[in-house]
Amino acid sequence: MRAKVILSMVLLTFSAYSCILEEGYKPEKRTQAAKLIWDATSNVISGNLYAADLALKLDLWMTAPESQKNQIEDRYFPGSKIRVTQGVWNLTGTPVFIYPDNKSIHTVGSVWKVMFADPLYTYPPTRRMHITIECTGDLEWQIATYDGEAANDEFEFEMGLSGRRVENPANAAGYIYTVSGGGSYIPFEYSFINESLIISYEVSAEMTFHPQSVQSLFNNYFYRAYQGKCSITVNDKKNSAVDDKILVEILSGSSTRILYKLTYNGTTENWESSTL
Amino acid sequence: MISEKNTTFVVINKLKMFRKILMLVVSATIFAGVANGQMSYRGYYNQKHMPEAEIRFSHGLLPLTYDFDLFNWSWDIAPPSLTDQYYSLQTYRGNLYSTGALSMAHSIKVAKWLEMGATLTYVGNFRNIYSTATNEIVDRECSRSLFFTPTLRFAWFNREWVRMYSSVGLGVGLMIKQPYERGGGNGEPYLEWGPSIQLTGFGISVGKRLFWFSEVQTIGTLGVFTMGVGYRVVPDKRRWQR
Repeated sequence: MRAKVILSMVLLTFSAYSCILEEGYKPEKRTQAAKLIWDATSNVISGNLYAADLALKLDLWMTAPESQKNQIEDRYFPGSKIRVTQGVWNLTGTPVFIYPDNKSIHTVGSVWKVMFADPLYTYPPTRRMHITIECTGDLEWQIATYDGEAANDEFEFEMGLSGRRVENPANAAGYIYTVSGGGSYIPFEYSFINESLIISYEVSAEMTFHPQSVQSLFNNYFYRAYQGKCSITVNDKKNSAVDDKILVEILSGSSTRILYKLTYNGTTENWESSTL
Repeated sequence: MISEKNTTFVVINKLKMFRKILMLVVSATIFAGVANGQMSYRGYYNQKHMPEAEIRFSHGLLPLTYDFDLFNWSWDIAPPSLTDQYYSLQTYRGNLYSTGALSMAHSIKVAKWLEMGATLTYVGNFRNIYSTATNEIVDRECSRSLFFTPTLRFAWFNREWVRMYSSVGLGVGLMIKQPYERGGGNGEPYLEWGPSIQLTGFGISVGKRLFWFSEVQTIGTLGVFTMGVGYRVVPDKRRWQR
């Protein structure tokens, strides 16, 4: 009898409470880390395409008949004016400077340069960088980018572009680009000082990037991939054991939604992203 | 250089604080002895008079330990780096489990309305870290806390079978924490210490020698709701009279 009483007391004592203090959180998908890296990589490519596009649009303006210049400026440079000082063009109110060649950017062999003197805290944010655009054929260019301030010595971007004009007059972008090539970078986000990842990417099947309108302080559009494949490797300069592989395959893209497949360290999942 | 100075300053402050808490605990223990000395021991040696004593085992819900979120509040609201976000998404945290406050207490009755004693408490919290890709356990983070809390218990309702009381306790505690470090999984364990405080508004015990008890309106290192069993060593007064 006494033993039963003791046992009841003990059971009553220890069974009264739930011992879970905090519920765990499980991510919805297993490839979320890969999506994060693809979004960042896509933004790096977008930033370079945006810089090249500014040079191409300036060329459109410079080579246009005088009667069309105002119309071109209104369409392609809304919110800014284009001004020249000693041969260097600037979009007023932005740290963007364009150094044209004395030939059109459509002339094979011409080399134009674009400099982002300061980071553009836009969507997506774009680092300070120097971009060289060389015309290699009809509507084809080779662009190479480096960080002129050596703030990020892991930043490389070398890609071949082929472009076609944007038809929609409501979009401030000049061209749609098909890209091949690759590069590497240390992420540039708001806490970039603490970044240690080194992300290398290679476009394994030509990717086509279309402009998407966005309302931001410095830019009116950015680029998103509508088709193609990209291989990404993630390393960490503080941890040599990190060597993660990501394969991005864009299944379909349109102005309203993009379907793509991510393979991350052997795990494959489909993703869908809608417009902003 | 500045950070070294700051670190030294923090360490010195912590040592000073530790000494203060230690002094409080020692004072409380000495006070218990002194108060015990206020009992009438007339005829103690002749009658082999023993004060009433009890031992308690209890389980408390939601004890306050040094990893309580409120203590870890940071004003640093800078967004996490992409590197941090990347590693965060590679793993996820499971449920946080707690043993609750497992306590053992001993006390002696120094007056009809006053008991003095001390409580030894263990609290363990742990949770598994899972791989997002495979859902397998990759690590575990845990913290173990130990508290020593001298306690004063004021019995304001005394019957043979039922007692009601309030209590206050002040002591010292330490916590060993083994965090999970994202990315490398090599979080070093560290030790924290601080005061152990327990305030109980309402406690009730039911039973004579073997008794059940529960405490509510409580806050502190023993939990907000405590329940347990105890055993009273009641002196055999008939034997005293022989």
